[in-house]
Amino acid sequence: MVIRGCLYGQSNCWGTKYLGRWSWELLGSVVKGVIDRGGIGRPAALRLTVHVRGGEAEARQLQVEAEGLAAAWFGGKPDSAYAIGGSGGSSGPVPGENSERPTVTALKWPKGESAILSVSAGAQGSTGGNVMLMGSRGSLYHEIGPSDFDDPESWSE
Amino acid sequence: MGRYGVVAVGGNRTHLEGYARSFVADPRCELIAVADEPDLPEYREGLNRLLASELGVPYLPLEQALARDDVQIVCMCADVERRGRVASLCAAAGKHLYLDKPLAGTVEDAETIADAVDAAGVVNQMFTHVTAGWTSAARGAIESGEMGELRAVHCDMLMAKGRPGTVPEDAVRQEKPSDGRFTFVEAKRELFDMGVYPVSLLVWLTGQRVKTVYGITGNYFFKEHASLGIEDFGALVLTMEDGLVASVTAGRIGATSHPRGGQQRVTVIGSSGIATFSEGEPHIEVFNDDPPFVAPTVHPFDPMSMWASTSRELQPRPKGRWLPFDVTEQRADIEAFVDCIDSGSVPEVTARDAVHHVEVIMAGYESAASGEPVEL
Repeated sequence: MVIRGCLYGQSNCWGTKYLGRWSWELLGSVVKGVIDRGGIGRPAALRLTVHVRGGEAEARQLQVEAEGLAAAWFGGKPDSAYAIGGSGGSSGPVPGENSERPTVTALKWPKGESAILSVSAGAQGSTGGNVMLMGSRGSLYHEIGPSDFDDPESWSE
Repeated sequence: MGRYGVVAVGGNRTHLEGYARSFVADPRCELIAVADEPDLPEYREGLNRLLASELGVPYLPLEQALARDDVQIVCMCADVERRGRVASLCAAAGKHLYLDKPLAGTVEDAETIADAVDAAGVVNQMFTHVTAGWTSAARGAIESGEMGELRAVHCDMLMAKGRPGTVPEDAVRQEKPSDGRFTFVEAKRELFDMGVYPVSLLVWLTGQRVKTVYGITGNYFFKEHASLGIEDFGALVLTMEDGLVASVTAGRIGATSHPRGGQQRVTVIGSSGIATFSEGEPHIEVFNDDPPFVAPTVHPFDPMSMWASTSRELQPRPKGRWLPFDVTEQRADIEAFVDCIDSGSVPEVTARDAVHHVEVIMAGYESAASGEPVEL
């Protein structure tokens, strides 16, 4: 069994020997732990950009995962959303090759918190992304390594 | 004796503190004077005179400085609200112009500047990050085809300064369209002041203009911004003219909220995958028994640590944990400007380009106020 995950980004991965497991669930719970102990103060703004191997179905699943994390970290669902790109954005479906265009979503919560989520999937090339959660008295940063998304099974919940 | 005489408009507690010293460091240039308009508020004229004194040059009335034949360049850092008028005077005098960012506080003022420099035929450039190594690497990856067909560009410019955690718990920002005020002692409008970097970078990287703007602003970190009614954070979701999608985050997040000066990066997604180019990458991390970084004492005249002159007074402990391989000096942008004068070439970011940046940011405020996207 290959255990996948690279918590420190591309430069810390060597071949197929990975030191830990990466998943949305683990990311969500580690960050929630920081929030719950007041590590960044009141969570205020989320910036999440992720690109995985796959097609529209994978991109849609990513969107669900990303919105779920945002809701968990901000303690509820947003009250406004605006999206562009992708096949489900405000600009509508894009035919042909452009179906791989990322979806960029801006979310806003009743108490002012905000998130900018960019999710996409492509048939080839490098994968990965980054997460930045800014709070009233601190921020946390996470680089998602390319190996984390080589196989959709490794990030599907 | 340098080949180009330079007049610096502005003073301490403006970006002129750095720009003027960069011109001094360029062997092709000689700083002739610091200058500005007459009848300025006492504090502003005092700070201008202080910079002139520090640099060992006279402080002159602007018109007198512009009349000198030994002046070829003006470095313009007048207050944002005065930029349209001051830059136009400089251009009309036939001086090449190095312009502080953002270009102006209104689209009309920005157009006035662009029209004036175009009519005068002078070389003009606004300060941006396009001469930095990490931004050049991003452009190289796009132009070489390494990224494949370009699909999205995301840019972050978040300054790690100021003492965070002071914003009132109940602060929920309700944005309003810009009232044209940008000059405050305590803080800056961050979507305007920091947002110009990623917006200019996006336009430069893609070669495209922005078509649609959706904006969000927030009061997330600082009591100073909240009490002035200005934002400390802004985000824009953008559609470029060929349908490319893009986004921006910009603001000030607190001195202790980043291992270096702040998050400065661009993430590019193309048909060949994703790549991130960052000011802080590649880097090494150093862990030792040095005392940890602590937020510097709050300066009464500069609580957001905006200016080098006030920061020097406080002598904050340097951050030594995260060391990038390469740091582009601010003077690289000024060297590129002087190169353009030497060669007669057009700078990468001109006043005409910068009109569009102001247009995008103002649309961002309008959108944040209405909750609706704005078409340009």
